[in-house]
Amino acid sequence: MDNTETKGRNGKRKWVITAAVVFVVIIFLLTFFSNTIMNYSLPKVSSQYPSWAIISTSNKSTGTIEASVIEEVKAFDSRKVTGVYVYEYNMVTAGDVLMTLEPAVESDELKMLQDQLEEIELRRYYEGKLPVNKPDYTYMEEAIAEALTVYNQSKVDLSNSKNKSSIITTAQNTISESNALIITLTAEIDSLADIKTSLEIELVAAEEALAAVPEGDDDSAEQAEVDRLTAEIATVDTQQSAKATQVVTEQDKITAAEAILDETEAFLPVADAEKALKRAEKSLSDARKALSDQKKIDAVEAEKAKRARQEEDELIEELKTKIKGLESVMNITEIKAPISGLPVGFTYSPGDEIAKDQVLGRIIDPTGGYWADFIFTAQQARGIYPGMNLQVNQYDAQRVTVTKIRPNPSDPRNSRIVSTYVEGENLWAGNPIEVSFDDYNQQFECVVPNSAIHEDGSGTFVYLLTRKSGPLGERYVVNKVTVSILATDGKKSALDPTPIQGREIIIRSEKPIKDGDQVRLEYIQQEA
Amino acid sequence: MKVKANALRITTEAGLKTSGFFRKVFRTLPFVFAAAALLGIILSSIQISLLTEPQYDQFAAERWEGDTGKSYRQVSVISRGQHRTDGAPPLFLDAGSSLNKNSVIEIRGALDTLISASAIQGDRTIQPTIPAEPSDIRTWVDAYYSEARMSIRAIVNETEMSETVNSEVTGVAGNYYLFHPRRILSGSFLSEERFDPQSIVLNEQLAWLLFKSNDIEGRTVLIGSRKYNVVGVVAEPDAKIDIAAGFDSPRAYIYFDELAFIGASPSDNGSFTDRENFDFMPGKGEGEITADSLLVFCYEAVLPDPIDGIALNDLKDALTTYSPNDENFYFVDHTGRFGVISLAKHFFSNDEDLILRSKYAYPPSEISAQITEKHLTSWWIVLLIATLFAIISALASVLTILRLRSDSSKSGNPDLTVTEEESQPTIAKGSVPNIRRV
Repeated sequence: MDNTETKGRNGKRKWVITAAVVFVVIIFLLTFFSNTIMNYSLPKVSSQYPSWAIISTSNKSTGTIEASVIEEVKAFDSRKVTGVYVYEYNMVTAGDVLMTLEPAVESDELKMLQDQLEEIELRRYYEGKLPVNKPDYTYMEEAIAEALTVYNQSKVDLSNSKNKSSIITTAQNTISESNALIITLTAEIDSLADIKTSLEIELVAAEEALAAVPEGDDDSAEQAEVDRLTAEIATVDTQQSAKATQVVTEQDKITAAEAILDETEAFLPVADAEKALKRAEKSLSDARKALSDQKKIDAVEAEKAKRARQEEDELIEELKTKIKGLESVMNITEIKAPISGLPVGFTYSPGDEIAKDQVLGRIIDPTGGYWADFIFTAQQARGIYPGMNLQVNQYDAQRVTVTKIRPNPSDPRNSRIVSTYVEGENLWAGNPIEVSFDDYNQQFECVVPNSAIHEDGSGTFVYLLTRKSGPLGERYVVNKVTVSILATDGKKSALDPTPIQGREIIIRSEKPIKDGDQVRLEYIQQEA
Repeated sequence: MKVKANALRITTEAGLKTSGFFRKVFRTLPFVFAAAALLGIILSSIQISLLTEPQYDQFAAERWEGDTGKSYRQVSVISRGQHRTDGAPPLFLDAGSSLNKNSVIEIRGALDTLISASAIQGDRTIQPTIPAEPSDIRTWVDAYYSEARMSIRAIVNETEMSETVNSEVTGVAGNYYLFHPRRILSGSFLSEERFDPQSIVLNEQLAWLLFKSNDIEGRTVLIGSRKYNVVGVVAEPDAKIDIAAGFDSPRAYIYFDELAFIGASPSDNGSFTDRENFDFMPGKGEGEITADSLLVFCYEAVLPDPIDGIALNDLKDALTTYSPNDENFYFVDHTGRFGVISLAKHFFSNDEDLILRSKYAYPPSEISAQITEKHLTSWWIVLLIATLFAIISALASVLTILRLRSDSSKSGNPDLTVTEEESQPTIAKGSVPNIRRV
């Protein structure tokens, strides 16, 4: 047991010693190669001291000279060119012949227009021969009248239905009264007949008495008596007639009342009469609406027809004008200069075909002036104002004056279009022109390459290199410093020297670094 | 008999040794697994760090944030256009699927309004005593670019060299360098302000192909018939993933508007056919290509992000032609894309997202980021498994140790590490074990 224990302890001691030795060796290696190991993990940077340098800034831009007055020369017809009498930039006068063309043999367009005009006129002719049908509303008006009649009847029917009982009562009363009256009248007539009979008897007697009066005797009394009786008989006759007539009248009343009573049998119940009235009312309203609508439709159709006719008239006029124009053009075989100036862009030769409305070239009026647009950055444009003269170093342009500054639609935030008026004696539209302003060379004490300058959310900054000594040698640490740029030419920039204080600036790094990073130095440049 | 006894003894000893060996192995297995898991954790952590660290193009928001204390987010939008087979810059198709300079102007205006409104509101609600910021400090920044493929030729001593190099040409605008901080080998990158529109920056590959040097500031190259002045040379990212993404090709950087010149051919009528005039007359005799008809392939911005994700919504709102139902543009949220949650979202993304992704072409930086995401996802899975493994192994190790202790305390041996030999009965040489004879 003791041997085993000793053996175990010895084994363990060996392990511990081995582990300790390995540990020491590793530590030694790490320490020996610590710099190498650390440097391997550190990003490499290049640095330099800021230096004095000149920054040449020139706000330059290139544009194209354009003529203010340019007239396009277009082909008036599709033809073949027979002769060209224009040369690039060779001054022409308004009316000069620029090209000659073959005469038109036939024009498809002219024929088409003529055919179109003929067709329209022929159609009008035939339409004029057709009978004109005016709108006839007779049937509709009759329908309305019928409907009105039915409506009125329905109203009467309804009134009758509502008043049926009173009508019956009235008729019956009429019958009763008339009957009673007839009886009375009949009795009176009979009575009068009796009276008349007695009067006639008395008349006969009176006449006999009169006749009996010898001639020459006074028969006035007898005559008077006869006259009296005759008058009385006439009166009775008259009374009889009147009463007979009244009887007839009363009988007519009875007949009418009986007819009314018969009619009342046919009276509709009130509900049915009301429905009939509503139907009649609707029918009347529909008939009136139909007439009204038809009148409106007819009015619209008439208006449309009128407008179509007007348009057709205009079309006819237009066709006639075009035909006239084409017919006159067919005879033209020359293209003339519309204005005086310098022809540009005429590239046709005899034998070439040109199409109607094709732009054959342009004529630039040299007296109209020249202009050019230039693009500057927004920052540059701050130094420009309308009326300012830009510098130009070309023999042909003598002066370039700013007329307008406006944002560049393609980049309104950062770019401006500066319009200018260009003056010179030998200007040619289409030529390039370069202008500049605020050219200056200025010396700065703190100039660095642009690769040294960075930007983030806190502004523009550079990284300064800080050297720190340590037990393992010199260490390099990066410090971020905010700077302001005084001037730049796109490759190097001048900075405000105050925050930098002559320290080394990191101009390049192997990978992005940040404030406080430890780095290793690859290369130091003394000058920019 | 003796031989038999010896053979038996040897077999028994071998058996005991073998079983002892396996017992030892099983006892040490948890510790081995724990060590392996720990190694896996370390390795995957290192890989994750190594994969993420060189993706500088994805950390523009962090760079812009600096020490401002404000939260920013890097977002971008990729559009589609009419690609041309001759390598010329792609063209704007329609507002429903493409971006152009006019779209950028609209986006900028809308973002200015959105961010200004948020800034005013923010000041009022949080700290009304915040002093007004100087006017030259920007609250947000953007850039845009498009790509073409052109032949580039060097001009040495006023003579055009015969050798041409087919190169990628990236037309940039805005603060492109903030988003793509390439290592500068000489000179500087294109400034945001166009002091010289015909400036060009070459990458190291192209610089060496044309001039056999990096120190070529001030030299001239020719793209088509247009001259450019070299202002700097940069090194592209050179990690394996970046090379797979296409960063190893020769590449030049020019201003975006210049793509209109290199993408068009001189007119063959009129008076503008001579090269000299062509150089000085942008837009004249150029065919129909203008800066406005060019496609803006990618528009990117670093925007304030006071609430998580609001920057992306601001960009979507600023792009009025964007339709969420049609997904007619592809938006990328760069900030935090390598985080676990973002990676998990991509890992579990649905088919629609995959189909949408497949409809677009991507710039090399985005391809590199997507490859990185894939690799990171794998390494995160390894890390999680290793961590799980480590926990289980640690528990097993603890249990093993406890069992060993209890074994040693039962045998009365104060030494906790009871060896296998000590626990086995000693068999003296020559002695025969008690075997039942039949």
